[in-house]
Amino acid sequence: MRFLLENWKKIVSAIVYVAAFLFLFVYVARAEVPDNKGRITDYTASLTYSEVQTLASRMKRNEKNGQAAVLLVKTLDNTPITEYAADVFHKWKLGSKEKNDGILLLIVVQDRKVRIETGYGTEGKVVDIQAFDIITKMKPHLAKNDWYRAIDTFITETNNLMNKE
Amino acid sequence: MAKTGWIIGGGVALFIGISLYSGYNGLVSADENVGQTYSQVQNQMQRQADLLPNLAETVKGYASHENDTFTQIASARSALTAVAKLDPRELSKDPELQKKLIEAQTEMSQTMVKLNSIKENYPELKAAPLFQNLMVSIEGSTNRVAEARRQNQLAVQTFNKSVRSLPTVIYAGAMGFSAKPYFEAADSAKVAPKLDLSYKKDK
Repeated sequence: MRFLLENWKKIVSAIVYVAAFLFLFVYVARAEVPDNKGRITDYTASLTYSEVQTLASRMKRNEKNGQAAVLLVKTLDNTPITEYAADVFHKWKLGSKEKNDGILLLIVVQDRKVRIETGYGTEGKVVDIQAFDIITKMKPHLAKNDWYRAIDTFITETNNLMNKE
Repeated sequence: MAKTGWIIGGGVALFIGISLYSGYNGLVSADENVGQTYSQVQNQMQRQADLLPNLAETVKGYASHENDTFTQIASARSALTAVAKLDPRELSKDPELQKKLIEAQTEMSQTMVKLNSIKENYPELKAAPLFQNLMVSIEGSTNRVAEARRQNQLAVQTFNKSVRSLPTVIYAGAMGFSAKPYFEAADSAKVAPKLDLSYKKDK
């Protein structure tokens, strides 16, 4: 009893530290949306610095057609890719609200999954088919781990689509 | 001495007043949010329904005798459209209406199960670009409905948490706010078209 009374401050601190530690454990369990580091965000060290620069400047040249972003992460653990892509898209606030022209390319390197996410209000059916076609064109490069070529294909195909309108 | 009493009393009253004001506004805002997320679910369900007539026509072109499938497609379409037409506020409060929402999701899943199976029997249908495009669109649409449901569930949870926590719980009932029901579709009801959208390493 005496021990508790004399050291209550330390005990409370200890409890707070343990609680914070445990909280972190629970909080980190779901795949967190990482920060946006510019047009191309690579958390997997798959692209060299100059590859990133080349791709990013291609993207920059076409920005008047819409805001695109590319994200590479290692794994999503068990988070469904559709939910994760939606979270990233919302958190990064891609595209303008009026035109809804944001487009996200997500590559999950270790899980070997890819997804193209676009704004909610878009026409839906046309976008789905276009996204599927683009991914089909990217597949040969993805299968060989040629991330640079895969992203390059993505940029070319999305540019073609934008220019058609 | 009486003056101090008044000041303290006034302070407490002010504090309570401000709590009630911001608490009420918080509940109204959370309530609005729930309604909006239901609207979004309904919106995505309507768009899904809009794909179904084309789907029926395409399948008819290659598999004209698969009447069960056409019936199923029509059934899904009417279930989805009926939910899309509901008042979102009513939908958020009424468990019977929410069951209709779940049923519509189930109907759609059953449609997908039927399509996934019959296309194996009709290779020309399976290979037809029109059909493949429709399946891609339906898969996208299923994802959007699921995402809308996810946002919807979060909104309902947020609202319910507010209504049930202190101090809001004390006056929420009096203000006309009560916890909202929420039903989740069984996992078996969440079936999408089978598409190969992941990529595999070359051997």
